Amino acid sequence: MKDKILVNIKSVEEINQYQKANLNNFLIPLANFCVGYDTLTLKEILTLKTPFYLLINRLLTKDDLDQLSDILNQIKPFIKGIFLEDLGVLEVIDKLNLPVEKIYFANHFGTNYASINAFLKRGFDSMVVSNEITKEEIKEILAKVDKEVILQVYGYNQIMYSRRTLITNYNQEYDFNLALDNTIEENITKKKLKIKENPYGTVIFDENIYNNLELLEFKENVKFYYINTTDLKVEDVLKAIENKTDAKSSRFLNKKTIYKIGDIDE
Amino acid sequence: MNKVELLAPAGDLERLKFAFLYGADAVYIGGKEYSLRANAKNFTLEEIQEGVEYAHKLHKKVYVTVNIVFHNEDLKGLKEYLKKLAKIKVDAIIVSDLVVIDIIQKEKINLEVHLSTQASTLNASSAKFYLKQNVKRLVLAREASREDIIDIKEKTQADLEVFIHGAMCTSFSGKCVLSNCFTNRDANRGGCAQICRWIFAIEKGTKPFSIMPKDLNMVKYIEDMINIGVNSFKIEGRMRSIYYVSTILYVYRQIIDKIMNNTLTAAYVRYYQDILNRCANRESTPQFYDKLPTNKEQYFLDREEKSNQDFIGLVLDYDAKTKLATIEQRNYFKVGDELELFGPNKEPIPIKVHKIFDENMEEIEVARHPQMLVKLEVDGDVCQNDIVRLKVFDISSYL
Repeated sequence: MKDKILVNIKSVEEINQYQKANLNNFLIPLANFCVGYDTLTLKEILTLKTPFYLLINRLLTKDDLDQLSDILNQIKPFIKGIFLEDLGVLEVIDKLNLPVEKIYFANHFGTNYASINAFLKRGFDSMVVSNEITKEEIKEILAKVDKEVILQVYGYNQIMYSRRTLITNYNQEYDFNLALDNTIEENITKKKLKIKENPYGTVIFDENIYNNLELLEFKENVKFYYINTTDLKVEDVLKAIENKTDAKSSRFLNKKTIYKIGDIDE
Repeated sequence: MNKVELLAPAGDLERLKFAFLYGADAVYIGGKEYSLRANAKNFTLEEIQEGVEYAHKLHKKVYVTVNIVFHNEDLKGLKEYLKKLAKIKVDAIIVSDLVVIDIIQKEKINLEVHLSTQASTLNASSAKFYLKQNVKRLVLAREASREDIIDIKEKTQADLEVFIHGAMCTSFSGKCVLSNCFTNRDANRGGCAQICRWIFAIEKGTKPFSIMPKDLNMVKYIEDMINIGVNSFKIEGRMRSIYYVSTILYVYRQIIDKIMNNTLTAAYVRYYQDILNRCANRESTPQFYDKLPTNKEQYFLDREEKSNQDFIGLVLDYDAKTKLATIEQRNYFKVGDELELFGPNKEPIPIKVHKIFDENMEEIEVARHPQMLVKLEVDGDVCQNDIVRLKVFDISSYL
């Protein structure tokens, strides 16, 4: 099972720690091309001695894509694959003739087998399955996809991505200097959310870790089990893999979302 | 100058007809299934057919949203639904999920496809991915800047649709499941509970706030976007009222027509801005077109949404001889009030209320009951379905 665990890396040092625990699939969030993640700079990435998957998870403009092209040119020998949110990255990969796996990681998409197959048919090698669907839906997806896909099994769930710099805006409005990595609380439900901002936008996470490790029982058509290590220590990740965690399963895994008021059955 | 399309939302058949009357070249509507406004009234297939036939008689167009992000169970019946839309001859469907395109290609269904703003297209490279799939039009992300739009147009020559007015999401469209987390209502299947409008607290000792954006308003950039080559100007709001949709359409129709015949002045732009802001009861700004939005483009706690009673009534009939308009009342008004009447292809007509008559031609002082029929003297070119509103702004004071 460990050979299929994929973790995102927050610092160069973490790689050694994970390797000692026999975890060898690494997702490297590229600085200036990600939101909601601790990233590695180009300079840090160039020091890595092991092949890796690269994460580019923000939506990009023309200038971003031009810059990305230069960066990929420099690190291309080490990249096994690229996880991308913006489909424009495909053209950059093609133009550079990069022999890398292309993995579509669009948060909140990947919710049905036919859409996933449609992307797989159009040049993608794999796709990350949504973690806002039920276990039954995931089971059906795995039974019907044409290539192996990636399941999200543990971590904080990204639930909103805005191009706006929401904390900076708040600081400007009220003349505060609040940290750009913070927690907000909804007034009535008292539900807490993590909020993280960088110059490229703001991402909100559910404050509760979701534990979908029961998905590890699914073997067929799984390329990786992804653990989003954002705000988690390496030892916590390793404990989670051994199921030594108090985190509860995602509410979505066992409860369908509804979309018409009339569908509410509670 | 390029001919451009003014594209309006229509939540039901009545609003579809008003949208066309008030200057829309095309409308977008949702069916009972697969549409991102699950709680709007929406259209049955029979109503879609009626709307399409009505539009085509006017040489106008109807686009149908099939823009949810599908779950496995939603795929059931999708192919048949698409075939029915093709048979009805809708002018295009608006989609966000590649599965819809896949089915259309596989089944050779004769439907034009427009890519929804849910796909968050911000650059020419991602645009090309979808254009290769035979997508005929791209509805760009609301986050697209002027430079992004120019680059996409230059590199793809694609038919581009851009939002010009209405409510904004805080997030990129489709990139938010706050609603799912708080209420279990699926935002990407039309159930969004608008959590971004709720109130949050951050650290102790700080002020509570919302993360809600002000509305979008592109009045001052319409001419620029025509010159860039934007093909379709889209107004948000399938759940909005007839008064709202008619007012917004009236203003943008006037602006586009005045640009085309070179008569749009700065005074008119200021006047139209005031009308739009009052109609929505909310502030509105260009948002991402000219800069990255700051705190000025967002509501915190000082949101001003004072409801007004500007919508006085709808003209049901007009007797040119007596100059009496029969009006279905929508809000209180009385003798002495200053009103104005507006309608398609005409400048507003001022009305000073000297007398109000009820249905029996009895003189009354006040029209106080919603939907009561009253008669008012109006001097001018008055037509059925013209709208009477409180006169708040006077164009002469802007000139």
